Amino acid sequence: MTRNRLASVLIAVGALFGCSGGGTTDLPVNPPPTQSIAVAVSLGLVAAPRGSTHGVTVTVTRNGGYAAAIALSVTGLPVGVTATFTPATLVGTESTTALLMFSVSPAAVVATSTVTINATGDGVASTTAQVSLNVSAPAAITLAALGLGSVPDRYTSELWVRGTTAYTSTWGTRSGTGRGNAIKIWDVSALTPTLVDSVIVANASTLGDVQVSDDGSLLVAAIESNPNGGLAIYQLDTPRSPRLLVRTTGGELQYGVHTVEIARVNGVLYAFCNIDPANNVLARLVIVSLANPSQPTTVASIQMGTPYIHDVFVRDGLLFTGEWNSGLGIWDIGGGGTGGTVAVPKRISHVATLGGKVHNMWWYHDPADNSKRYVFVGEEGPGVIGSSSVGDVHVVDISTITAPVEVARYTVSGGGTHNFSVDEASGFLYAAYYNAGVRVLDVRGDLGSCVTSQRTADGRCDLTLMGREKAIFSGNGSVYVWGVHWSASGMFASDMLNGLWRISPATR
Amino acid sequence: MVFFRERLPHRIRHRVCALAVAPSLLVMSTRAGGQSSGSRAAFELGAMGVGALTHAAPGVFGHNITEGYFTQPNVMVGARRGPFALTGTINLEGYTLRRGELNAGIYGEGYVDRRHPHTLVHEAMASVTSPSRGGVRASLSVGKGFTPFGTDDPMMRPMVKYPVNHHHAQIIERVQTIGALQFGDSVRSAVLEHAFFNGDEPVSPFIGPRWQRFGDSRTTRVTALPMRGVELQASRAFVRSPGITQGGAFDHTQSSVSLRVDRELGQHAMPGHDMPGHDIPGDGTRGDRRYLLAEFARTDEGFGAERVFRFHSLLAEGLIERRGWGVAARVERTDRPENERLLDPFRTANGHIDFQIIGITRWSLATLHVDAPSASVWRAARVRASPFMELSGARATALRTPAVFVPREFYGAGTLWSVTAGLRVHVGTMRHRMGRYGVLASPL
Repeated sequence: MTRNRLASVLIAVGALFGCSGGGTTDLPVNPPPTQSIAVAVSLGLVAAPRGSTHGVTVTVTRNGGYAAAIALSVTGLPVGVTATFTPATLVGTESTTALLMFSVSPAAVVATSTVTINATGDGVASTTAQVSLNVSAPAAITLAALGLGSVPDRYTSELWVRGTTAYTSTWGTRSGTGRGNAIKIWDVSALTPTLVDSVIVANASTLGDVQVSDDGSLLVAAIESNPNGGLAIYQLDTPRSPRLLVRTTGGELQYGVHTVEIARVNGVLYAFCNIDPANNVLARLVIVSLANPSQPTTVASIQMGTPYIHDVFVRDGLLFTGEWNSGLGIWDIGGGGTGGTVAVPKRISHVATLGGKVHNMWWYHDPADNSKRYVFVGEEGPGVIGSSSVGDVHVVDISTITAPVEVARYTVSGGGTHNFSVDEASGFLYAAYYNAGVRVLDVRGDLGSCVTSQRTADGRCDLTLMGREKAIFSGNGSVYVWGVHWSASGMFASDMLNGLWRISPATR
Repeated sequence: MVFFRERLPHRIRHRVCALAVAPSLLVMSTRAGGQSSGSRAAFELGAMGVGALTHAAPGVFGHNITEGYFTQPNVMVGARRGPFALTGTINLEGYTLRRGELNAGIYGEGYVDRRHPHTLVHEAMASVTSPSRGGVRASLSVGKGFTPFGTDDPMMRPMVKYPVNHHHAQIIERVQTIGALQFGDSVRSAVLEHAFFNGDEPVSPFIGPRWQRFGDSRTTRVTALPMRGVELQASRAFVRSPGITQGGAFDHTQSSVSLRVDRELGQHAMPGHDMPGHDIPGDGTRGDRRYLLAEFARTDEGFGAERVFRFHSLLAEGLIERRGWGVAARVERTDRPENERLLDPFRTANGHIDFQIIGITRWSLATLHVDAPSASVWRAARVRASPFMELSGARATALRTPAVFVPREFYGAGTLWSVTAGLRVHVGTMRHRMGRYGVLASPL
């Protein structure tokens, strides 16, 4: 007998004696169905700008007649993002859905994260689905031009605004009658600045900074160009009719006052004059007392800068110096605790920002947390004035004032920064950006902490990647913005090519 | 003595200069162009100057300007004994040309649209040259003068007005050391020159170079002389911070390539004598001459090897002289950096303030120049004069827009015309060419 025949016989005998089903039935019996759940999401990638909320549909499918409640949860959320399910527990017998809402805070870290959605139920294996969550900075908004005070006859340089009056200086040579020797005076009480008067500075071809003293009594303008450099100091008994007190000649100022900042230290008003280098004359900072503004008196003269000392910033008895390729200097002139005075400043520290060409500074006091941690440094790279520019905003952390360190930067492709103005109450830095218009940065909070993807190759945080670029102003599309000035009166920008813009300020 | 003028007050400097120059002129007026009795020693002495009246329409701001000058006043001395040679040129433009000379498109050393005066010591070079051994000669030159870069000084070329590319195509009035090797013979040769010098440009006719910067800049020039009267030149220079004397301004990397053909024909041919109105043999006549120069020059400005701005120049000029009459023409296209003008619209600061310029302007110029035969005007003193007239048209185009230098707005016209008439005056023996020392020096 073959083996197959023997097997057939045994099967037949088995069937005859009812060996297969216990004798009660002869129908085949299936095993009970396996119960399981599956989860799926409606989107694999969610683009979520800061400050936004985004919904994703989560679908849970039950198998094998599973009917117990299924709980939903999420893991892998980036910092600053929360998630909620509605409902958080699904009950049903087949396929049910929930709405998953991602809420992205304005301070969320800009990054792409993999978020895992977990579905769990009693007696079944948990299951997951994944979503890529791309937290991005919201696109910078465009600030509106509210009005333009046109200056077609000369090139406009710096500006200052006090109350409803603005002052703009002029620069270079536009024509035989259009030279940089005028201070233009504007009524800015309406949206469109209106020119009301101008004063001509004698023997001047380029004016740089123009500034009103903190008490509103003086207007001071920097006069460039050896050998006619100096200061023009006006009395502002009537803000729109400045009265000339003195136009300095000779001395060290004659080599050209490239920039001037007037600031009060221990109750005395001073002009901090940054003097151009001349042939065989090194650049220097000259500090002039304006205690008697009709007779300004030099109280300090310090050679500094390679090759320029471009600008200073004075606050709380500290002096910040923009020493071009020598970097940023910090000096005690009465508030640093090292015994320095205006007449004898003492250097506290120094930092060489990347790229050098330190042009201007702003020491930021943040009223939100009373921090005084950051100094913003403008870098002015080489360019063709009127058409091109280059240079970054550098963020220097002076938490340890004796050892300042650069922690972040902001860069604009095709544009370079110039002067700053900061709306400290709102935490916005306005940076004149020459041909790139005006850029507004959100500078509130921690600027020195960021994830790897937000860092530059040299390790600094990149404010753009951190989503700190808040707004942009580009005017009529052909601008060359020299200066910006934020005040309670509004936001203004001086444009070399066009004149004085009034701009809609940024808001939170 | 004159090297140390920067230490002297102006008034004293002027007196010292006058004392130095007066005897030279006296010597010239009595006997110029002498030769020593020794067969291997020689000296030459000469002086030149140009009296000119220029009308520029417009000069600036739409205004026509007419001015007179005594320009290019030079006293030139050369001496040689055996292998040693001295070359000196005193330039008196500091006295006669302080406001500069109207010259559309020209720029440099704080002047713009006016050609700057040169420094009092235009050149003062000492050289030692070895004899030829196996067809090779070597020389070492030290002093102040023309660096081995680019082409000849415009002062020794046919036109009176300078080309715009002066600061692209020549690097002059530097303290330097030049080493040179010449391979070949007096007809066909190749010359390699290399020099170290101070990068700072002159800032005033009476202020000397910044001595401590000697050696911060360098240049190399290769010159091929394939046949008599034909010269090919290529050179490259690195100039540290020419714009700010104490350093820190842009560095320049400059390149130059040129072809020069200079053929003198006829019985009075004097190879190597360049200047119309000056190349005059004893009988006052001149040989016929054909001269051509074509050059390309380029200046890169930046930090070390990092380039920020680039400026090109193309120039061609020619001269035909026949029976004392000379007709010359020049065409040029040169890019110029624009800088903020000072109170005097013909002046700028040295260097680019804050590394910024206010535009790049392309200058296209055409110049026509006519020389009349020279005549003796003071026979006893051997003074000769040659009348000339020169007409030039220039157009300026902004290469970067928008900019804050708009040529048409600034000048008040699209084309700038200039006409100049005057007399070239010379006495004594004229230098063959300027700025060539050691193995490249012309024979006395």
